Amino acid sequence: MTVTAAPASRRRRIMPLFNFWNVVFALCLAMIAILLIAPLSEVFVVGFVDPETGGYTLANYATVLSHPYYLGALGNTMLVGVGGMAGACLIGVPLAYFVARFQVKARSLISTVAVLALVSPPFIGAYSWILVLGNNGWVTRPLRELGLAVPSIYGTPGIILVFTLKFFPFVYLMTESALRSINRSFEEAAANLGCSPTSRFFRVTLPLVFPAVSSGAILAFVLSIADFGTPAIIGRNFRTLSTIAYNQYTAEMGGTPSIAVAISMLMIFISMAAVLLQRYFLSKRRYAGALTNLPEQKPLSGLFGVLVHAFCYLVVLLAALPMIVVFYTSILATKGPVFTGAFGLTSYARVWNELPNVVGNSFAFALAAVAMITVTSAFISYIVVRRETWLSGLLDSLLMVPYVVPGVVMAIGFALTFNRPPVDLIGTALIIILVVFIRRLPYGVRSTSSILRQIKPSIEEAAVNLGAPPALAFLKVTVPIMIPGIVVGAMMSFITAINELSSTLLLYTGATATMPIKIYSAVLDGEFGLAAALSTILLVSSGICVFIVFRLSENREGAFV
Amino acid sequence: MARVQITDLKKSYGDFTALKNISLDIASGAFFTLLGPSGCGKTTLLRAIAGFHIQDEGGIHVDGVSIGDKPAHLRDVGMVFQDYAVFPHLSVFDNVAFGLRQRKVPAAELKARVGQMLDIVQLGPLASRMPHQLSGGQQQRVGLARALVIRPKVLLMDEPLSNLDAKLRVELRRDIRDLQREFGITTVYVTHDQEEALAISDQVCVMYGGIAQQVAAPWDIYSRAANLFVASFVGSNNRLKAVAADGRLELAGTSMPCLVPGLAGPAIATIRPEKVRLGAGEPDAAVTLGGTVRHAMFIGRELEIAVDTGDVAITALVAPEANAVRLKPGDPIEISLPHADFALYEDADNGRLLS
Repeated sequence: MTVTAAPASRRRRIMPLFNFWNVVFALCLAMIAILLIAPLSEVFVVGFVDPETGGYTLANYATVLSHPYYLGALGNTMLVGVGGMAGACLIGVPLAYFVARFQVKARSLISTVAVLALVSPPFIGAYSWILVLGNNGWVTRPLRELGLAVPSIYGTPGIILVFTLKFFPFVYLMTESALRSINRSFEEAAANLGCSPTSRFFRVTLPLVFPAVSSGAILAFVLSIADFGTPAIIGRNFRTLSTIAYNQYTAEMGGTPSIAVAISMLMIFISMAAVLLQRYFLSKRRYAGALTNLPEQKPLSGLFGVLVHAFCYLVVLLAALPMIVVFYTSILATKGPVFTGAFGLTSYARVWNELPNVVGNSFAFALAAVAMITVTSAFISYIVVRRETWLSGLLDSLLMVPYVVPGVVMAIGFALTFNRPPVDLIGTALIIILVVFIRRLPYGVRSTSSILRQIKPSIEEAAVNLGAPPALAFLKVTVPIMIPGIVVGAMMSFITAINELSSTLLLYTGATATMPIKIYSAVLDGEFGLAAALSTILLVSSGICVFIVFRLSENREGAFV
Repeated sequence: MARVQITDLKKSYGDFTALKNISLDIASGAFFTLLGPSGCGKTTLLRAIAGFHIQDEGGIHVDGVSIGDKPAHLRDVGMVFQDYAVFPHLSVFDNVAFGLRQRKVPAAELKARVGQMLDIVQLGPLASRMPHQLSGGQQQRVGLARALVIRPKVLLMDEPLSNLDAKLRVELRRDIRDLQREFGITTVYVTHDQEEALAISDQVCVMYGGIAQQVAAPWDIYSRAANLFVASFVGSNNRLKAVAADGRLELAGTSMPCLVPGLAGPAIATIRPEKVRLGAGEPDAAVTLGGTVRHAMFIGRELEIAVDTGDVAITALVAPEANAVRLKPGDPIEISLPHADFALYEDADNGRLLS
């Protein structure tokens, strides 16, 4: 027999270009280019456009970086960002330490409330606290009647309070899981070398969990500076970059939103700098968690035990307060915007009669976005995890971008990009679905990637070896094994999609309003009962998703961070 | 039954060359083992045959038919994986049936073939179990059954036993060899375990640096290693620097007749530890060296003695007899190295066997 190989190898170079995964890869890149790169480039370019002449200029940035109005907002943004981050750490780290290292009672209640606080939209926290500590709040009023002055909740303290209680679960959940996987020998060695319990915590334990603490902290910071609803509701005249970008955009509507865009770029820059700074610190520290010799949980007793429990339950109470307030308010009978003082379901009746389309929109948009996210993230995570080329690395890095782009900015990008033929999407449902899709896609990809990393590539190779073509091997073998991760990812995306406010607020029209948008406007109009009923619907939907995730993931709370 | 031919196979990843012009001719029905340290290219070669890596150049033929550019799922070569790769969401039965379903085998025949194959690998009673209910050894039997039931032309095995414990490894190794003989299937087996390779194979290919260093039957690999790498990788070996001149060989301060006629200049002499004897030998049949014991370790069945002879350190593997077991570090000792047990190699990096 003759053995020749040369012609075959030449043919092979051309053929694989059109195989299943290369086509999927190309489609994913094209989608990212259209939905992510194009809007952000548009934002980037418009920042340099002179709205009067249409020429290129640096004046927009010069204005934003010199005018006291903008600088004040920048300062405020940093203030609430750092404040929210610090507050999240001050509550999150001790809570994590207590729960991880001591036999705290009702541990699962603590983590469940933390997760629920995490998934509830921040603007609900903002207006609940107004109901409690606002000018006419449940706590403020009786205290004022007693002649006690209560410090104002509006402005900086309120925003930092809401951010702290909203974002501490990130720090808590990440730190707690890190604390539970430290090799016990490190702390024992420190004790053996003469280190007291307190100094052991600060000199050994805390540095070892620093990567987890800092990841949680940076997340709290980035989300704090990007949040629109909280400063808009509880801030009164307190301006942050988010709120002025929104106001500026609505003011510049019709013209070129150059200033709004310059503010947007500044926000992206700050988030990016924070993430890069954290990566830089983390690159110097890499500790693998231990699988054996895990720390044990010590029993609690005496005064210390009482204090620890008091702290933990106080945090739980504060974190759960907005949910309690919202639910309670929703079942108060109202007459118009006024509470009658009795219980009743009038607020729900109003939702049912006046706003069925808003509820319907919310579910329809969220489900559509989630369906797209689920399918796309299964494919993208396969490419990112299983193909180690520079292009798949690029795809992975591009998916980091939505993490640092505030919703307001993404919305401005969409409005600037898809506002003219051939793709004029302004005022459509599609633009809302697409903006939510691209903003939440990274969360879906992260969830599916993490389960795909646990599936050995050999499983799929075995299927191919037994005669299944690559696409079929993926569908018949890999996807079924990925199902729990895919469902968890879908639930998480659904939670974030249905609670989305900061991007949709800029893009909605009357016909495409969603529940968060309606809650926001209801709060501004003083319609607290209506807002509470809608918020309760959101919370219950999110709670159901949380329940499903708890049932499906081995590491219950871990799925949320 | 199929003859496998690999011709001039090349594969590189960036600057790293994983396979350098590999050419192999594997006889039909042979148990052919690729043996080498990690990174030597053995798994790359196996995966190129399976179609998971596409070679840069060269051909792969089974029974004269080129499969080198076929997609992996059309190659009809069965593969058994190091980590079993048993589908965790399918039962034992469905795992084994997977390949037959891809081939649209009718239900009745499928059931019969899967049942028969499960009986052969002694998993008949476990057909409805899920993989997580099986031990590692049982999972690998599923992997084996799954690969064999499709009656592939060639069976590829990628370190199938390396995740199992020592005793099970020896047991399953015997079963694999028996099955392979029974089916008469050409098998390419990858391992880094030299004992396994020698025990199981018809032919062993020792690989290093992307090059097939030597292809031979196990005994020939061990007794006539083609170069210094094979000599030290397969079994252990003592190395001595030597100089040949006028039919004599100078080594370790003594002289012996040179076994390679006409050899002149420096060379490397090797001798297996089990060939080294304690005590002085016949002057015209062995080299006798004096030295001190550096350590003596009883390793079960044999005693390993490291001897410092001044110039060189020699390891001897001897029967644990009373006088040997009593040896302590520092004790003076005499050892003899029979002339006939030396092998001579070129004095070069990975020098070739001189004969």
